[in-house]
Amino acid sequence: MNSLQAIKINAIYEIKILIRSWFFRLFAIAAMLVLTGLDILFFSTISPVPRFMSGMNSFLPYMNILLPHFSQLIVLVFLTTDLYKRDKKLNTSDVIHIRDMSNFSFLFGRIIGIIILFLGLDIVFILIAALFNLFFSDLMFVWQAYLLYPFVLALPAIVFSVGFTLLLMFIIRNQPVVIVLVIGLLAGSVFYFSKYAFLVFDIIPAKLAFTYSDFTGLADFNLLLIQRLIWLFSGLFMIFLSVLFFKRLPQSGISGILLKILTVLFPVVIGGLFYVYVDYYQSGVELREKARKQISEYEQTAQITDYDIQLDKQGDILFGSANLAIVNISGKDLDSLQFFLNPGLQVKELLMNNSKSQFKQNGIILTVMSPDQFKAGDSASLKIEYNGRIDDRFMYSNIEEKERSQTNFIWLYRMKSRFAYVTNKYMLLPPSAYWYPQTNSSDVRDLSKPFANFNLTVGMDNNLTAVSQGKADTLENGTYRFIPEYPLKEISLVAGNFEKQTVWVDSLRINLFKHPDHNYYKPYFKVINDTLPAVIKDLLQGFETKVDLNYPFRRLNLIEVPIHTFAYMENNRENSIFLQPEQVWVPENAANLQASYFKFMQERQQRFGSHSNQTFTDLEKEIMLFKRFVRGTFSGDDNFGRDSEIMSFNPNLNVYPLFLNFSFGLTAAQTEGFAIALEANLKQSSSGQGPPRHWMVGYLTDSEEANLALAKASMDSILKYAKNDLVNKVVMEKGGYLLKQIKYELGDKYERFIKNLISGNRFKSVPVSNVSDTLLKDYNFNLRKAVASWYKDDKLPGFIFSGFDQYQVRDGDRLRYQVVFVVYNPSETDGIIEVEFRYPGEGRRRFEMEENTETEKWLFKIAAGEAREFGLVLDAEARAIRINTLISRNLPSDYTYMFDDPELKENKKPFEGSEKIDWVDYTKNQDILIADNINDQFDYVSPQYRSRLKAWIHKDAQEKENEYDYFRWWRGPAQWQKLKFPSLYGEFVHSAYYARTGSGERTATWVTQIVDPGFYQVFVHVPDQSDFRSGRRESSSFGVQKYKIYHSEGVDEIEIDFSSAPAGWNYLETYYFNPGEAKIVLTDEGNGSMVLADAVKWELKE
Amino acid sequence: MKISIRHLSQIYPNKNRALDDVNLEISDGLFGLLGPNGAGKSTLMRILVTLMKPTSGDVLVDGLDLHKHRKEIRSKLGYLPQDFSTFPKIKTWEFLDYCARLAGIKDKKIRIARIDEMLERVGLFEAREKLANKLSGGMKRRVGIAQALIGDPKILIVDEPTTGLDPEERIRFRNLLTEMSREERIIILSTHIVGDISSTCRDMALLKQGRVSFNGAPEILIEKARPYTFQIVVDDAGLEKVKQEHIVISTVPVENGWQVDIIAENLNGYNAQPVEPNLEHAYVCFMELLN
Repeated sequence: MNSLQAIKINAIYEIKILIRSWFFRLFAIAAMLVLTGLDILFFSTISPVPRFMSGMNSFLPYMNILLPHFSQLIVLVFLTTDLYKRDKKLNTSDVIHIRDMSNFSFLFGRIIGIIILFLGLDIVFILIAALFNLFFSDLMFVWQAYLLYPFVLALPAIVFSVGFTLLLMFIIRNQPVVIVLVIGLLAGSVFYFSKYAFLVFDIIPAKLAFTYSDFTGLADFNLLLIQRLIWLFSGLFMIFLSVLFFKRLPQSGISGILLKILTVLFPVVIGGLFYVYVDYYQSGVELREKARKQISEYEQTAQITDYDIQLDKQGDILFGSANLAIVNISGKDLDSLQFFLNPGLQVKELLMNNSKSQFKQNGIILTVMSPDQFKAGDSASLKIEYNGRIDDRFMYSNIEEKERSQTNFIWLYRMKSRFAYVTNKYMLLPPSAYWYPQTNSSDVRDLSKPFANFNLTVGMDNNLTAVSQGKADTLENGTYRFIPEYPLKEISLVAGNFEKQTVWVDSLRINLFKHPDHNYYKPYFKVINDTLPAVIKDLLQGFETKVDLNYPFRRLNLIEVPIHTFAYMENNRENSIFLQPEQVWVPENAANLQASYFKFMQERQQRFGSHSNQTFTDLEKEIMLFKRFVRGTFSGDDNFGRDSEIMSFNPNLNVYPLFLNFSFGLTAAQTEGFAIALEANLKQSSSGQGPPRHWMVGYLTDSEEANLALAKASMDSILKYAKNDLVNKVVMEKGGYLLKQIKYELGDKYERFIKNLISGNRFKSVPVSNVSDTLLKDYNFNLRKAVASWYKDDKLPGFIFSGFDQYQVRDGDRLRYQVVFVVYNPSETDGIIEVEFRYPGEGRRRFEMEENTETEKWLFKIAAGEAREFGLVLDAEARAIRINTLISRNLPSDYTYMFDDPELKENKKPFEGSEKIDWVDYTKNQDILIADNINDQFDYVSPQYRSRLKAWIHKDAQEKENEYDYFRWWRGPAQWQKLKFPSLYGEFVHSAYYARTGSGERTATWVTQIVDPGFYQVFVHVPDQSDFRSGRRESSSFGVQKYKIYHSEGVDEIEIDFSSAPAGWNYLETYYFNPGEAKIVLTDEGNGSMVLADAVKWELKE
Repeated sequence: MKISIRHLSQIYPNKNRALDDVNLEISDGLFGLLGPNGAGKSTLMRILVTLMKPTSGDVLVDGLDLHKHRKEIRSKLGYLPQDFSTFPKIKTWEFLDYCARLAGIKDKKIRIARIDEMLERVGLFEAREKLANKLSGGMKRRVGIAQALIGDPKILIVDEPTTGLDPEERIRFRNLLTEMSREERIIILSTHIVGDISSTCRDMALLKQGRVSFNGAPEILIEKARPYTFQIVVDDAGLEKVKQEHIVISTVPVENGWQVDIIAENLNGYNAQPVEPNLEHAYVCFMELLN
């Protein structure tokens, strides 16, 4: 009998035995049931879960393998230790040992049996997926994925687990210890080791990016394969080692020698693979470090004014030829010039002014030695021939490595970011890949980037359709020419097997380039086709009104790109890769666009329709659905909650950069703040940010975070020293603020000024100095001065509001609505606030599909130390007033006051404008002593965690103690937690602490110093309960609270019911107080679900 | 077939001399290997089935060296070890199927026929679907003999097959072996139970402390014990005395005391009658008196 047969026989019988183990059977049946259930839940045509869980075609097989994988390995480890134990116990399987076979055939056969059994289980799982895919879902069948997951993802982990378990069993010989060790290692590889060395230790694998794109497959297939081979070979190595150790039978000659050779060879091969894998990523890190350095040291000396690029794609290799017209803008004569070029592309020949030039490539920099001196201001021609494979590792070097090393995910599915591709079937070349020579870094796409004339000819293989900027002509088969009608800052090139759909909206051509099989949206849009141009026009006009600018390009290309491109971390930035001139890149199958969850939205529409007794025609429904998708996706109106636990990234495809950055330029010298401000303002107005949703209130909004930072440091130092994330928030707020200052000063003329500035200078770069000259001359606004203080100011205004009222007045023969309110700015800095109103029908659960009505906004200025009463006359009754304090010390920075029903006041005259008034600050009254929760008059005690473990588990919670968090109306925190609401007591900071009710362990204490002895009335501040009510809960979370009041006679406990007490100061009792410290203590005992510690007041009785 | 064992010695690492210069010639038929526990029977068996390499000496099977031609010889071997058990969760017929496959029967039809035949032969056909390790001791032993025979081995080695069986199973098993021995093969039966070496054993060896103290037909062994086998009748006091002085094989109560079978060189002072010796007398005689 030959050894293969022996291996087969032993394997078959091992499988027979294992398959009868109840442990295996239970697991297999449970896993199959769960998977079938989840397949129905997530992937069937009737699935009720959000679409991003099933957005990619490969997610179905991916889930079916990955979800049960870890538990499967645990079962495997148990059964493997059992194999050893069984063999030990039955040493009388001598009857088998005397058969004609070698030790290797016997043991290896049985081990193979285990491996085949578990791989077989995976094949069953994948078959469930396949059946589902083919018969019960509308997903495309991607056969490659069905091979990939069982064999590349699962098999190496199975082999490794078996090998490691066996080897340990031979060394340790103790089943429980071995099981703990192996499972410990596997779990460790998920939670700990995988952090190191670019996921090479991710054995399971839990974090390796296995998301399979329909365009490009895996993000890095070769590297991933190497990683898996490392663990497959390690497993085999340990299995062979075990067979060598475990001499059940005499070793047959040949297999014995083979075994020994392999056990020597394996470590060498594994080591080699390990090196290749780590080196690839490590050299990527080095490449980026170098790129970072090169970009920061780069000094632009020449500007490219004209491009004529010829590019041929052959497989994954690019052959390029670029004819450039350049100008020396450095102001001095140059010997050499520097360009950015992809490090994977090698320059073959370079001609400057038609004569051969020396050149040098180092990282991303191409240095050209000018044959003759390149004189200041001179022009020259440059011809560069290059070819090679695009390397995208250097791209976005400004992202921190730590952040970069985190794999992105949608639920279970891991993905890795890729920024540029050239494969047989697909090509994606953003300008930042430097696939053509450039003189400006593309890492930052601010307004300062100069324009150039482009002319691109591309040769494609494999019948790919190429898409770039400009008018496209197909020359001969596979050759395209793109000539943009206007100068551009940069161009991009995408090619793939696309299906093209075109809609004309007047003279604007909108093209969708999509995968021919990606049609999931079609069932939802059956009748809209003919109406589409009108609907899009409507949407476009809406957006144009919002940003007050016209769409500048002649076409808009929506191009489907691989999901890996979207696994990009900083997609909220202006340099977001998905937006290109004339182009918006849409994620493959719209997989991670929350607004693409049409089924869910359709149901919501239906619910709303039946709720409000409205009936819509099919066409109306489709139009609403389409508008909702477009607004949600392209204008940042996405109202879905974002759960970072489920999806690590969420693309923001807000298209405003097409209206500004790509089609308008500002060349800035000292007033670059204006450029930042212009951009931030447009971004703000384009995204239509509303107030935070009610159930999530209490935590710090982006603008509050920005304000807290600005209260501590000036814009200047924040830009220099703060982290990216904070810088973005501050730039948004402070940038918007500068424009609001201009808007306040310019009044009605502001809109026209901005529109003229941008629309009048399309595809041009305007010097900022021109802008400030115009502002000074035509509008008497000193931009230079404003920008200077914008950078330097570190003192913020703060506002106190009072006197809100709305009543009816007679204005001629009309009844109108008078709104009045008082704002006091006790700070040393002038400030601006923004006011808008909510009208009945709004502000509640407004139906999303309705048109977003832009409400009018007013800006008011309050000078330092001044109090003003403001009056506005409205034509309709307002339900509430919303005041945004913009850049200020106020917390919350957004303040909403609900009006009572207005009465008619016959004696009042309409009052529009503002009046300076005197402000009586009663807090300065010596007879009134207030202790709030923010200063040294307040302290609190939370129970300490007794066990170290518990303390460690709650470490995060303890660290967060002093930060604001959103109001957890469903369950109060165990530790006192800070939160802010407008109706909480405070001068600028309206905050309090709250905690869940308990047995008196948690206390909050207010103290004050009594100077004048006497009878004092004691008050407690109660906030407006409606602040704390969520839409889901009508009852208050707070109930009876118990205050211990320490006075001259001793201590008294007074109760007050927060759920019924009116908002404001509530009187408790009057006591006599001696001079010295007075104290009031609140405990966490009460009948509500939580207690609130806000402020207390002692008021001397006359 | 012929097995020649020449100067075979086995010394364990603890210096225990399990076999000491064993020389035996074994040919077709049932060969009995008798000896007390620890005499070296199992060691000899394990060497014969190639699970163990001897310290010195050779074993030739039809002139071929056992260890040099292990592969060939293994294919002719059937073995039932002393403590035999099967894998858990495997049916009787499946276990036999596994063994049949390992024995090299590739054709499925032939294999199934062979398994059924073996099951019939050992009387386990009814139990074929039962889990093998849930069978009774005797039935398990029969599965063991079936698996040993499944490849139609020319050499069958059975180590202590009747230990722990009830009398009925024991008789059944002996008959089975007798039946097997009619075919053309060597059956080596190792046992410490004299009754197992039935009259059908054509040849036998007695092992004592690793050495062969007798090798030949059982009749010869019995004949050699004839001069030392006596019978006497004594009273209660006499019995105590006899027990202290001589090797007592059996005591049967009779009217005037006890009838006692004794092994001794001579029995002066007693009214001793020579008695017809059996294998048990001979075994005890060899173990206690001779050598």
